[in-house]
Amino acid sequence: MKEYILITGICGNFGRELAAHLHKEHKIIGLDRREFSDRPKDILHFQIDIRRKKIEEIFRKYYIKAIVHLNIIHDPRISSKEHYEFNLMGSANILDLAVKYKVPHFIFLSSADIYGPSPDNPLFIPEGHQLYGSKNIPILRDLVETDLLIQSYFWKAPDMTTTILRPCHIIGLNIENGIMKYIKGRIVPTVAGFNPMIQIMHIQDVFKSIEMVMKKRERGIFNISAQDQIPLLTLLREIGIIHTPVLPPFERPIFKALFLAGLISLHPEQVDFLKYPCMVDDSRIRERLAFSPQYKITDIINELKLIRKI
Amino acid sequence: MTNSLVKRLDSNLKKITNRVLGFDIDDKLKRIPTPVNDFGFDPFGFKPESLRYAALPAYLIYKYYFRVEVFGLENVPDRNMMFIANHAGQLPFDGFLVAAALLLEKDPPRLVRSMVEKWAPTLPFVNTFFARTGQIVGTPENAIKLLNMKESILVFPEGVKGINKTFNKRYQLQEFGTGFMKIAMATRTPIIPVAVIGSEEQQISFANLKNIGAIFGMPAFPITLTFPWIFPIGILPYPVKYRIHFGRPIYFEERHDNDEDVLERNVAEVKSTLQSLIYKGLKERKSIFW
Repeated sequence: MKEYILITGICGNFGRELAAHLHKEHKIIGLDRREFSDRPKDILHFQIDIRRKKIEEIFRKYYIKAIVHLNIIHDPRISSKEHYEFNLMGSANILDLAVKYKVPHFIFLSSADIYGPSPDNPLFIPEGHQLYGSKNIPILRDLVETDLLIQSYFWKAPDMTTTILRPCHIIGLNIENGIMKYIKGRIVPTVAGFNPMIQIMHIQDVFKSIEMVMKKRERGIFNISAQDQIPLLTLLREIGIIHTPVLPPFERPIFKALFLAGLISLHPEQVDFLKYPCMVDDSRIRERLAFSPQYKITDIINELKLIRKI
Repeated sequence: MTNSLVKRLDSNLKKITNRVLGFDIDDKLKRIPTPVNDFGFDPFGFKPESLRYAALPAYLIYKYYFRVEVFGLENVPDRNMMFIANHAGQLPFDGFLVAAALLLEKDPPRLVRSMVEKWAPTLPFVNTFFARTGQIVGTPENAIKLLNMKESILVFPEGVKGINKTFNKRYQLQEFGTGFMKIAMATRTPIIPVAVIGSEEQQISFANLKNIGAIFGMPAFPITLTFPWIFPIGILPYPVKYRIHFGRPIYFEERHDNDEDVLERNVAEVKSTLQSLIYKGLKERKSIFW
């Protein structure tokens, strides 16, 4: 019987690139409510909402050896109700089916953002730290709750290997996440007097970490990060970005006005990411899986320079 | 045009700094053993080069305002340590001067990372200055990470209770927490007690109106001889003479860092050693100002 890896949210830029990365060695099934244009022929795709009961047919028909759950929306311009329903109910549906059909491994790509930027954060946040992301950034609420929901399967489904990966900011040519939209923006705002250290990692290193946890079937929560850290303003300067400093304590109303005018993509609630650190301690994955990112910060900066030119 | 002007200013500042200090500041900073990345930063955001710009004003304050005298530097071994000091004076000049003493007087220079209050990173520009000069928010995780990276840290176990103590409690150590001992034992880091003589008279405080402080988001609101009467400069320290005494290292070999009895016994040992060092320093002192 053929063994498949199911990727939810495969039609997002990250999902497509992950599928392209994995499909030569593994059989892939994609699950997404969006259309998969230019789909490689050997990838099966089901265009369906992950909240639908109908997806059980896929589990019944194919033997799924691992699920990589990426189907999380975090678009600040979509309503919080839609966010909540899609992320929580969709994840719960997939998890329940994974348990029912005895899927051996469930991998969820979470985010280091859920720790939340804060002045009293340890500079390198360990996996056991509380998830305070939604305290000052309510739009992160459902991401935090999804992470907690999946954590509950460590004990609800002890026979299933559940892995949560919490990467720092991911950089890649086709990625449309928060940091990439910020860097690609016409206006790149910063908060005067603040220059937090940040971590950025290359998308290929994230793929490598997914492959490693899949190969070793490692259970648990793992922060993943880059080789190095860099102050935000140094990063912008090295890429060649001229930033626009906003004077505190007026940063929130100014960011709100710029966001409402469509001039920036950063939600005003996320302004603390430009003030305080939110970096992770990745020693657990380094020690347990001997994972080490390949891309140096200089390589990532060179790629970002090219992306800016494009 | 702007770049060449900045380069000229930088070169002139370096010349003036070297002339006043009497040694090459860049040479000194190069000998700080903290590893940095391609951009000159360590993982915590410390940039040794930034100290060059702080060196001249720091030296002038150290040498001519507080006229710091240092004793017992020979007790500081060439390895990472946890320095435990008494804390006072409303503003943390004690931390700055202990760090300056280890950087300026010790050869090879030693960089000690102070653990700063959690509200410091909320202050614009100040947060960046602290990070670039090696100061870190005081969380246990940060302290452990630094010690595992073979860096030295400076801890004031009295915390806010110490720095905001009133004048009648000068040189009486306030309650010590056990957190620092847990970290020292878990990372097998020796402790050096540091008695700071002078800091406890740099402001004469009669009361601490905490509730008023809370309105301004400050951990305290001291009433001193000059503050708030001469606002805001009244909070600045008087030109007392600082004497910094470094004690002998204390080694804690056992790793029972979860045993409260062992922790409390070890904390009591550090506290009594530090209190004795303070009394010795006070006894040897002839005057507060010279």
